[in-house]
Amino acid sequence: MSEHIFTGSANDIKIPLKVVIARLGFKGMEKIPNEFEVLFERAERILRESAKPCAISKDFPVEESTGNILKLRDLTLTGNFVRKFLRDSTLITFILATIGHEVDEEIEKAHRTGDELLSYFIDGIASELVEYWVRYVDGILRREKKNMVGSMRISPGYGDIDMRLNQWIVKNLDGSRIGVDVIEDSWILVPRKSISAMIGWKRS
Amino acid sequence: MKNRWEIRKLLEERVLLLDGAYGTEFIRMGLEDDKPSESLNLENPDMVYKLQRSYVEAGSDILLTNTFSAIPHKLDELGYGDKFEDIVRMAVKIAKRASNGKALIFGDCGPTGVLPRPMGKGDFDFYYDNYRRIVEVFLDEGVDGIIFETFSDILELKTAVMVVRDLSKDIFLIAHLTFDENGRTLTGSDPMNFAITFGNLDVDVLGINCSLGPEDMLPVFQELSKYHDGFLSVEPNAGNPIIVDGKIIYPESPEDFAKHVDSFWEYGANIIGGCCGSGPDHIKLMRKVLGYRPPNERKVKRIFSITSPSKVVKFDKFVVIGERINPSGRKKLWNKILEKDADFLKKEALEQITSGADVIDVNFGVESSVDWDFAVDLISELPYSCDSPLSLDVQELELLERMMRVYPGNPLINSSTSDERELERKLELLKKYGGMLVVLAMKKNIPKDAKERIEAVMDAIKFAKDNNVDPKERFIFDPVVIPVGVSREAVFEILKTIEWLAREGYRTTLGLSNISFGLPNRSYYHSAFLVLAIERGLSSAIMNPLDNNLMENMRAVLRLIGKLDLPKGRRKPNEDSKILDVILSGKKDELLKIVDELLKNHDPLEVVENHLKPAMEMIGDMYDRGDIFLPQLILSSQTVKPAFELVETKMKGGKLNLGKFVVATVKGDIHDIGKNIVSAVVKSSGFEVIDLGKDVPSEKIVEVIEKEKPIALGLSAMTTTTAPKIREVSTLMKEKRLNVPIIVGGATLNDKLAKDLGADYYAKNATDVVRILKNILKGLNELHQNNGGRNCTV
Repeated sequence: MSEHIFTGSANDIKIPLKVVIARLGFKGMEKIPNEFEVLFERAERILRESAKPCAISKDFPVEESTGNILKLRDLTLTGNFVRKFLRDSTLITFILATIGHEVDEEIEKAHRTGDELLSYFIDGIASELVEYWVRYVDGILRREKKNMVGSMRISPGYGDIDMRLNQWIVKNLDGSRIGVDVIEDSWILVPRKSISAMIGWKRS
Repeated sequence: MKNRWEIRKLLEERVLLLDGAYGTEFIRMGLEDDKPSESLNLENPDMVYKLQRSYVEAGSDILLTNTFSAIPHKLDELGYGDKFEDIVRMAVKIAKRASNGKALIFGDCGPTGVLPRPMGKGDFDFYYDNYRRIVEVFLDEGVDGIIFETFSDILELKTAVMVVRDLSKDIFLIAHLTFDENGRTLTGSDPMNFAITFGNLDVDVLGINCSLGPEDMLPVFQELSKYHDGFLSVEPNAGNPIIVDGKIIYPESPEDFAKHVDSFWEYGANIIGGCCGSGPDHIKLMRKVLGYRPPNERKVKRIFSITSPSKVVKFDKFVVIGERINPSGRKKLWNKILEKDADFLKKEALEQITSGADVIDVNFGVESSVDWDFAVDLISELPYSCDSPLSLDVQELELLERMMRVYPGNPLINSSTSDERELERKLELLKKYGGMLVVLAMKKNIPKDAKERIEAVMDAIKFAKDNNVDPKERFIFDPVVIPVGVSREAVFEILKTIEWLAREGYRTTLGLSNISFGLPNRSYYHSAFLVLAIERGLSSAIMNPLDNNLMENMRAVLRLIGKLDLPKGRRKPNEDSKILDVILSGKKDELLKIVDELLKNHDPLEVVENHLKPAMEMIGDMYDRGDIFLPQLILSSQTVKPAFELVETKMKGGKLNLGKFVVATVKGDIHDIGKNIVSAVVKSSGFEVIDLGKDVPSEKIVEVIEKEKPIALGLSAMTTTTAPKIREVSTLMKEKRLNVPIIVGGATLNDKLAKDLGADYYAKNATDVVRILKNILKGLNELHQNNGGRNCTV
């Protein structure tokens, strides 16, 4: 079972400006409106200084695959999305990625001091930062597995994929190594800017 | 060779990969600048084969023929006109050899480069002739499909589609427009317009290509995906071109380009490829990322609307259809029609638009006396000149069909009776050319009463459904207006019919001026009848927009029943609009100075009621209308907060409070940005907010409710796993007989789910919460008054 731990620098993660503009709610704008530019730059600086991107990926062979049921070591995956995306996979890579606790603290700090807009900006840009961090990790995995065809990357909570899977992922990838935990009952990941995902692989 | 239905089935199973660019790749491979890429089909077929072979090896599912500019008109201009047929036939042969059965072959066809009149010299016949010639060769050579790409005008693309469907019903067809960064084509169409106009035509896939790199194209594609429920395709450029050493370079690397595949898939792309600057390496990496995944599921908004190239008129608001282009009783107009004075008619249209018409009805009077070529050309050009959709008020079926063929958009067809024979012919046209149909609530004879009208409507509905046309999506019913001078009873029967149609969810229109035929002072009757009809649910009227009395009455009734915003400025803060500007631009200190000055001469409560509250209400309205962005709403809330605090220091009780609002993010949920925004906006509207934070246990929430007795509780739950906590809170509150309304919000919630979980209200955003709180407050005040001013508990 191959496993990787990735660490990165927030400054190296490129997020298209268009994406951030849309995320922050500036519908149809080409750039951040002038009156928000200073605050936006401040939010981005705080975020990039506080974010600590890291991730774990781990491969699990599929032991049994019938219709829309995939059996791994101690895990059974089932449902429409499993059938649509992971059918015929011989290997599943699970990914757990985060940009760290300090980002949560900065969002919270701005909220506590009454600067809701700063809090909202950091939160919005952070959502994209963690997404593009996972895309970076995803790209490395696909380049490594040159001889295999990878599925779309899918996450718990997406379609009919059970959020409870987060608990299994955090446990089996030992999320504590990168500071990721899961909230009991709601299966939401902590820190809040964390993503869990899986990619199914078949022979090309 | 696969037929149309086999390819459609394949698209339901998985997303297909197109190839990349040809022109830019050929230049990279050594094509001389002055030669068209298509000349290579005859002069250097190996170069074409080599490029196409590398696309197949990179994993393309679809290979386009090297014929983008092989339109007769273009090849004529390039000096290759006599070789047109050989170039196209050879292109298909090379593509088939390169594919060797591994990829589908689609005949590729770009625009003529000639804009339609009045901007250019193109017209329907010119376009039709060019596309007919190339499509005939494609079909003869046995391509699997045809793609029209990089078109910048609705009429040209629609004509190309007409050609294909005139020649074959079984060939797979893709239609693409190209948009600029602002999401508009060269002739002004936006993606919503594209989806509406072509969604009603017999096309398999709609898509976008060229002009933009993937990052800029994504929001435009997202817009198309929102409104088109059929298959979608996309081919971005490899970034925005830059000039290096005098050469155009597309800078996006295969790695950067392929990163966007997920985003396009997410928004529903069924076919993904590359346009200018993309090559086999881009396609290879895209194949890797795309894999063989099925298409994403998505929700699509259906919009009842008609279009011109640059305007979409939606029927969710009252629609004014200008009646003035109708020679009945207008001798001068009739003479101008006979003189073929297009400029006069365009002026008539523009005058109505500037007076408030949304759509222009065009009626040529005695059609047998009119030059049909003139009439058809006018219908093709007028939507470009007046920027508005047309209602084709035409009796002769043959003339109507000619007009529908050349109309650049989705027109309104006025009209058909409910008689099956007439309806059948009009439905055929509707299916072939698109458009919405006005259906009269009558068969052969004028109906006597509402019963007869409704019977005719029901027959038309059944007939439409039997013919696979959804009447709710394509019909507007006209209850048939009879002059009040003929029958006063008819007025009530018409109104009853409108009421029934509105209740059943159908759109309605009527010829307003008919009501007053033969009466003096007609304008008053028009206004009065329109008010009655709008109140019964009328959704549009064919009327005179130049009649100011009529238009003002219409606006007034629409405002009274809440279907039109109150005039801007009416609720502006009393002092001036400066407060609004200061709040919107986040100038806290300046606002404090203004408020301080006001407090010197006014009671604190007056400052709130006449200045701060109206300003915040206007800002809320502006946000709801989309005039300002969410960050501006948050900034305004932050800015006004110290001003409220300053007012409070001057109040006798020391507290400004419309009512208490308790808000929390439920247990297990740590996503609190939405809740924080709600908290800030509600506070800035004068309410006292008790924010319990995130991940709050249900028992704790109920405990606070019991102690604080707020007017409402707001709960935020972001995920499906935390939403059930709302029910837990609601149940606990019921057990303790705490009758406090619960307002909920969050990404996974909606109105129905909110009710199922025991909440009283669902709010989609912060301004919604404020609105709900005000309604709750209003209800409480009324209850308080009804109780004779005694205290009432909540």
